[in-house]
Amino acid sequence: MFLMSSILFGALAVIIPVIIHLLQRQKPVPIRWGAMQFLLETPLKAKRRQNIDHWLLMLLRMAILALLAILLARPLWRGTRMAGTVNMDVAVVLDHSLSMGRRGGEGGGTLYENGLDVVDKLTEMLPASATVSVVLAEHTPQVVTPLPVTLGDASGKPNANPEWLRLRQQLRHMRPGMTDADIPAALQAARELVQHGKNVSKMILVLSDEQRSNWQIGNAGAWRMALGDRNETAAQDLPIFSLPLAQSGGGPNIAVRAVNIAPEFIGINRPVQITATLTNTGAVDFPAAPVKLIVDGLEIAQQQVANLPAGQSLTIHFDHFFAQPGSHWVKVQADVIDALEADNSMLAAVDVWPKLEALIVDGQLTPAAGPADFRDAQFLLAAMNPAEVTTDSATLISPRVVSVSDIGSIPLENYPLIVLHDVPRVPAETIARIAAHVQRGNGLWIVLGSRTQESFLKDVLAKSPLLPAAIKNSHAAGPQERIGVDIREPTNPMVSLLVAAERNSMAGMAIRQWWPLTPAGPEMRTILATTKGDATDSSGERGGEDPLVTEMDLGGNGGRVVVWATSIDGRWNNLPLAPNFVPLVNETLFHLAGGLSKGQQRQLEAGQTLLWTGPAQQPVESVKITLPDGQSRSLTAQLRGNQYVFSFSDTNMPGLYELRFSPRTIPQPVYYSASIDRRELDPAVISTAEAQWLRERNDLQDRLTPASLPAALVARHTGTELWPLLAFLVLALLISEVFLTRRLVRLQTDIHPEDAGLLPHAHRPTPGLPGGAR
Amino acid sequence: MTQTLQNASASGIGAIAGASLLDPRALAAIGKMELVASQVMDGYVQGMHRSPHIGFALDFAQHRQYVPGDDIKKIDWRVYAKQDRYYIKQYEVTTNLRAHLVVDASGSMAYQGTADAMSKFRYAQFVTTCLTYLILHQTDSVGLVTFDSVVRDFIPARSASPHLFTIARTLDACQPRDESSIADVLHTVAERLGHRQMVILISDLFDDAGKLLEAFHHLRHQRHEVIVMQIMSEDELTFPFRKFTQFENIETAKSRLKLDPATARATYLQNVARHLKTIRDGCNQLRISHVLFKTNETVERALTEYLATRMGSR
Repeated sequence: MFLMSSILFGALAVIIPVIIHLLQRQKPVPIRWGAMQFLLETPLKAKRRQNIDHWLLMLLRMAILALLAILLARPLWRGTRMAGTVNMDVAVVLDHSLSMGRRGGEGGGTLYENGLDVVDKLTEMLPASATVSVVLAEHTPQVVTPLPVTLGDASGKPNANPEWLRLRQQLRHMRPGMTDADIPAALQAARELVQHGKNVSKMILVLSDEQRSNWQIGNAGAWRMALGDRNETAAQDLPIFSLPLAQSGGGPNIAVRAVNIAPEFIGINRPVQITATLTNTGAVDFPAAPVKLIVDGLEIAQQQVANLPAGQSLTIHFDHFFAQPGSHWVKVQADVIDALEADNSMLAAVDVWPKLEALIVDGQLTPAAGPADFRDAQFLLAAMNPAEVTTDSATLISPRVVSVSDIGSIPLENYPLIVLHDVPRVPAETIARIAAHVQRGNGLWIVLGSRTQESFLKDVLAKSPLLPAAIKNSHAAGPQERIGVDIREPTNPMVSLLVAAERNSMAGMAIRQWWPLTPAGPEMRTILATTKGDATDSSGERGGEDPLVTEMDLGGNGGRVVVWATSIDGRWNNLPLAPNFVPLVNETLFHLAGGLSKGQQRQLEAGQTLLWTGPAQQPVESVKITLPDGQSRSLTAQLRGNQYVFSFSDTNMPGLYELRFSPRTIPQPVYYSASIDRRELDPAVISTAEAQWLRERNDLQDRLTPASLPAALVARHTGTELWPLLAFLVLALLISEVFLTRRLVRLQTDIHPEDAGLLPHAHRPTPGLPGGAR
Repeated sequence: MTQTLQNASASGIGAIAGASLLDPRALAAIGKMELVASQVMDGYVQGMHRSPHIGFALDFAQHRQYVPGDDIKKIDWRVYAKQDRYYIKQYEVTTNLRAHLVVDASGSMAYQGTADAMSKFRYAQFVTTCLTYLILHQTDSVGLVTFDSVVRDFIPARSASPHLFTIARTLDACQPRDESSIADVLHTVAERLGHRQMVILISDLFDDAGKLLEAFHHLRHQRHEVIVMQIMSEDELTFPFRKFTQFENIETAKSRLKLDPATARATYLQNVARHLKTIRDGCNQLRISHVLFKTNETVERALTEYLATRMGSR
């Protein structure tokens, strides 16, 4: 077998000496010669010998050319060899994903440690001249050996290279990874790496738990991008073997799957409910486990979870108040020793707000000295601030009432919440300004009422993105008609509290007049609606079943618009008198403010970009980010428009990310939490069919077991390269050729007839006598 | 010179057969010289040649002291009267020279070197004619023998001037052919010539060196003075060929040899050198004058040089 068989065509060069020989053997020049006796006296043996020399020289030259061509084609001698002498370059792709931290392998170690054991076994099987390269498959492949490392030391003792021993030690000290693993990308890195090896036989060995998601099964694009379209030759030249590291037996495994914090908007001293889902992903039941709630590093509460059967989930709740505003983090941790340690806890970062600034734009056009002068907004104000206004209580919402005529001069940026309270008319440009404000992640509550002008509704508001609905004239219920409130979306945070408290929380509410809206699209959801009326109106239609409270998300930053189609001042309904009015208003406001937390999302999925924004007024010199593994980096924030933006996309490591800023006047620290990649918790492994898919792509040669590894190594032994032997042979032939040529040249050496005594000294040869070739 | 010879040969000078061989320049150059035999020869033709018969000839030669055994008649009593010592008076008798030019006309003499203007035989013809003229000019007598494997022509020595034309015509009519058997011919010549003559052998001497020397010995034994003028082409001495060549024997068509001259050169030159050395050494031993003419040298130069050397050695 030849590694570069095309060079064998070079062997055709053997005809060159033949041609030269034949050219030399052209038809002899006839000369009629007198001094035949001296020619005939040439010993016949010598003549024959010269002839033989000529032939021999030709054959030698032919042999040299042929051997040279064969040598350059790099022939291999296939022979059976013991594993200990298999010279090859092995690239090991060692899965360093989170799932490799699972215990339950042989000897109680993690799968990662089992993988290292296999690497050790492998290197023991390889001779001193073999090389090993290691790539850790993580979210981004980590190349441990920049170049393949020869196993033998300087003296040729196998598996004794100090560099390799140090690397092995370093790998041993590594903790299991925290991210997912991109096997195709790691294979790409390994393929590039193994090409630097000097041996002929090469192979890639993937040591992984064969987690389906990491292997990107079905994602032909990823494989093609990593390895290209491999044909069988490529697969032969560089086969990829997988050695699955399976969990033996499989103990119980508790995973904290999700931590939810409600409500979305968290204010200081507001009750917060922390919900965590625990799942036993193991194969056996888990007897009992304490589950802790840790807030900002302090253990706050602990609950005992009793007996979680295999495959079952349960939800546990913690209640908590955040006394301090700012960024906080919450960790729910199952204090157990199980198969996989990494999923025993889960983090969530939250922002706690000290105040919620709300701007109430009242429809009252007359100027007012204070909030109390806005008569119609009193119910709303009271609902926002149920306690005494004067006392410095723990009230969170801080409302400010302005007249609609003043809205042009109010900087909206300071108010994450705007309430358009029964305004008769707002200029279209102001509406556009408000819409842009909402799209940045703020909340808008539009309350339509008796003062609202129909033309404003239909011509301005309905045409703005704030209220994409067809609006009819306000509908008034008949005198005897009783229109109630129908809860259309009980899970909506605005009403969920009321619904949970009592089943018929809206009983007793009567709506007398409203603006019938017909949402233009599904994005506008109806939360509350009027019940169907009994009487028909002037047009003969029965009123009712119109949206009363709608909600709509606006923009991608968490901006929300809530529209009340009926007034809040008690004229069109009796809502302010209802016992649930205050919570309804509060929850509506908090819900609208929920976009705040969405705008700067603190709870990230693995790999989701971390984004922080700050006002432009406060310059950011540098940002120091501390990663879950304790490393920190100093980066800078960019000034974009009217805000500073800091983004960080390498959040594949689950855990807590802490941002600190310089100067220190910027509120800090800011926490972000990244969750474990859900796919990484998916225990699904490659099926036989899926392995077959990889085989058909030539991206996988075979799946091995530790027992079949030596056989695979021996099978990979493609042969011994013969070029050193051939090079020696060519050298020997060259020397012979030189010797023979010199010998023939020596025979042709000019002898001066004088020196041979042919001419008497008295008769010097005439100068200029022709002596050259005739 | 070569050019002159060719011109002479082609022009009307050669109206008389053989006239082309008498190149005026060649003959003029040689005419100043004298062909002198270093060995005293007996004969009765008056010439410039010393006679060993001191005593009754004409020219006084020298006095030498008497040693016991000398004829008392030869004592110069006058000198005795003056010096009271015995001296013997010696005379020289100038004898005439009978020379035979033995010319090889075998096939091998037909070889003309690639750079030569003429073949060896042509060269030999010139040399022979020049010598004939010279000898006749000295009023000595000269004869001619041409041969290949046997004697072809035999012209006895005469001293008459027209003899030059006889010899030249004979030479001109002679064409080199057939195999040579120099040694055998020389034996025959030695027997036929009688005693004490000058034998000038003009040949390439392509024969077995041992046999040749035997033949020379025979000639010497017959008390002939022998001059061997060996004519070889430059090619035969330097073997300058490079291309793969088929050497065909010029004497016999059957013998041919294909070989790479470059590889055979060394052996060839060694063979030639050994052959020449054997002949030279043998000639020295037999006190035979041996001279090698190369056909690329002009005839006049070769002859004058040789004769000058010969005069000097006297």
